Amino acid sequence: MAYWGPHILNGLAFGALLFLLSSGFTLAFGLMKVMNVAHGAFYMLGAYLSLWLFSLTSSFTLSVIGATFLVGVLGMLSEKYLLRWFHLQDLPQILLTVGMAYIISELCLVFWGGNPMVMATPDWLSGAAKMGPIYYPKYRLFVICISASVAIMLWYLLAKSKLGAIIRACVDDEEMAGAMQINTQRLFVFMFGFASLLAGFGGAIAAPYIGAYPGLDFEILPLALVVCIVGGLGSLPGAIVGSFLVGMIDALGKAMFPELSYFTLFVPMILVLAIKPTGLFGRV
Amino acid sequence: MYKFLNFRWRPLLFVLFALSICGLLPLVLGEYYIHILILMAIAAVFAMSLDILMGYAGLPSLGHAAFLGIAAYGAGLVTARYSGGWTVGLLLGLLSSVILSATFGLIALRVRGLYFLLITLALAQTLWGAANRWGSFTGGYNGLRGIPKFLEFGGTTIGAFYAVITIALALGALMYLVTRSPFGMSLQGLRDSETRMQALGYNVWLHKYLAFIISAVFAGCAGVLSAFYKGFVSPFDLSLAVSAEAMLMVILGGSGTLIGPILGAIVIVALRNLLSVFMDHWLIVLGLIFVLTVFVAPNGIVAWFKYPKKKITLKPSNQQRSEQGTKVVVNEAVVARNQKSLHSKSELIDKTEQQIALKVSGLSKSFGGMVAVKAATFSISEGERVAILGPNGAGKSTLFNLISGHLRPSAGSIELFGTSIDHLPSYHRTRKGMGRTFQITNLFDSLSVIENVRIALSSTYQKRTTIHRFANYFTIVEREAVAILADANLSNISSNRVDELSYGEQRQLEFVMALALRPRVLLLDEPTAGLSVSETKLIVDLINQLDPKLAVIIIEHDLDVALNIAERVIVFHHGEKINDGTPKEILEDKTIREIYLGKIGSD
Repeated sequence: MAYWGPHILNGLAFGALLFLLSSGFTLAFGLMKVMNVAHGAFYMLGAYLSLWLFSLTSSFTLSVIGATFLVGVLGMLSEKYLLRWFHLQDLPQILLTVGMAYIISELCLVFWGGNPMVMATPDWLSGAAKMGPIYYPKYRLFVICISASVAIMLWYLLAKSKLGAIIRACVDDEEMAGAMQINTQRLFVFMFGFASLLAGFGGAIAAPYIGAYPGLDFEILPLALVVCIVGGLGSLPGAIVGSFLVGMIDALGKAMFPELSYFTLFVPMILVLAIKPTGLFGRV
Repeated sequence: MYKFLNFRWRPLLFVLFALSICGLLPLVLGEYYIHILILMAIAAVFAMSLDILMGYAGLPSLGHAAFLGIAAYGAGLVTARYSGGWTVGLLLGLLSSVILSATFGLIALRVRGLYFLLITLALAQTLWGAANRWGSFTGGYNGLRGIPKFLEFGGTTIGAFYAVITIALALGALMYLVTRSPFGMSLQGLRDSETRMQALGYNVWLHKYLAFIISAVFAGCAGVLSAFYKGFVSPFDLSLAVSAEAMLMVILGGSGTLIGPILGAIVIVALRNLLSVFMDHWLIVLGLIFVLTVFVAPNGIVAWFKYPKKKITLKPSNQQRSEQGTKVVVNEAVVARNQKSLHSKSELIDKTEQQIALKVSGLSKSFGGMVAVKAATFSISEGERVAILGPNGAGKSTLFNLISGHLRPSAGSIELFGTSIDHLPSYHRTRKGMGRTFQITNLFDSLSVIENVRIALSSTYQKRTTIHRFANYFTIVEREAVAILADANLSNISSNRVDELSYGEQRQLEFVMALALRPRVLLLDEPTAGLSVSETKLIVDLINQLDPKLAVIIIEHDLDVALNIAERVIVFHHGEKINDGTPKEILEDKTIREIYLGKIGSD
């Protein structure tokens, strides 16, 4: 326990972060069939913005909220002024999001330079917590709690609220939902903004944990893809289970085969694809 | 002179033209610009290889760089580490592309559309990660250096330029041949309609898989060229950036053409090398190009130069055409074909007794709780004309899909000429003599009429996977395609794109394509739905002129049409067969009147 405990907690913490990252990706795909290649860039932008806001306000809470909000607004703008014109057209949307990803990541390099940055952990979350025989960083436990609350909130939003019912209606039959006086265009703007906001939030929360550095965007994007492929694209339970599996396998894989890290991430993906190509919770 | 401009000679002219231009360029350009031209040529080969997959087979991939990268690494490792020669390097590089694509293809081709994109992207990123971290073998982040620069003949960039350009043009010509071969045509057919390809007897999965491997081999060629020219391979060669840039080149130039990716490669490589001299942040410009392409050139630069084709042939009106259609057009080739098919059939069939062509027993299909077809049992003899009647939702089309193999039955069995075909996939049933048309027109929209027919015929002549000859260069196929179109009075529109045709013409072509396979059992799913009276008459005449030995089952809503054609009628209601008899018996049946007209005296 004393040996495996921290590894299991590492897996949980990394899985929690992966959930924040991939839930937005999977929501945008499920509702609008957009494969957002810029999702990793939104995440990185969230991390950089929170670092920048922290340097201005030196308040952890304010900088996380501010960064999350700004990335959400950027997401809404990109849906409203770019993606909307190419609704349901795969290739144009992919080119657009690739272009957005390039522009965002290069602008981050212009503004914040090439050196890796990590945020100082706020006082009340720094240090380690003692749990039985194990000492574990408080901040990672905090990430696990935050991610769990986001998961519960999203589940409530989609399964119980009226907005959730509208979203599910749009996923099933967009035209019919439009005929039921649902403003699908506004819903799409809102939901794409919300999906980007989740990515930005993930980046901001991870700022004291993983930090921000050039190339982070395209390093983190495949992780979101792997989670969604394992769990099934467009499915929230899929994102939860996928993040947990991928996080665990990564942490335990790193402990057991350190030189094969990153590669071990893709093992669950290939296994799932071989058995159920649409992912564990995927439809169609 | 005109003959030399037709499409068989055009690529040769293009190659000669390009060779002569390229031969002269080094005389006027400086060494740096020659270097850029070489990069353009390599990028163009890579973009064209992606276009085979994306533009021709309709399988856009975001992981194509994996095949370029692995070939570059394969060739680089052998020559730099183990001092292999260039032939060993080349072969090993291409072999690694083949093995990798054969493996990835098994995984990625289980899904389609965006999922395919996502999975190819994730698989390629696996390799990228491995190349980065497995430093002891691949050289890690810094890449692999010290690969001998085999392409630098005479030790100069100009020597390398001539070598690369010659190889690139040869590869381009090969790809041109592949895209115009029967195999290449089959890929374009897949892109437009997979179900139709199955109905024509094509093994859809196999064709996609082969396309995946072939395009990977060409990508591998680009990779080997790059390794042997630069003398250097890095994980960047495997990265998403390379895949995405190739996709941009294809779309910017125009996908589904080979000149498009060449143009795209020239534009992007030129901009990158010229602009990055003046600015530090070229990637912002590249990002803007991605965004602008979508708005300004969504169909590619090539589309700017293509004006909508004017129809040169004057089309007779439908009225005139249907009048022509009633006359039997005597055409030697057609007569020969009919005699041939009769002859080949008389060998198979004993003329004295009528064989049972199709036997369906206990066939059922349920979707969840809904039973669409309930224990259907009937058989149809050779030469019989049977109509299947029933109101909407009676399960008629489901029945057809079960018989043709597009759906798997929940229970029951199907026999074709006495042999069970339960286990056969739909394309195999077609090869056994089952032809069908679809209720909703299902043609290859972006191809011309004659190309549609050619794809159908290539299937019967087993030219499906021929890759080394032009599709329009098989004399038998070509002669028969022309004859079939003449037979159906479609000759005057044979070079029009299918999506330019009228609905009636499309329905007619649908019918003609099903017949091109010389089926022994023909399933017609509402062949006259949505047609005008004169067009309907045309189709009915065509059906009545069919080979008398052919067994025909027709789903029809129009009673007049059904009774005009059929000698036997089977009535379905709520998935069940409720009657089976001659048209006269059916018309007198009380329950059938109730189904169609309602009960007399009920509320």
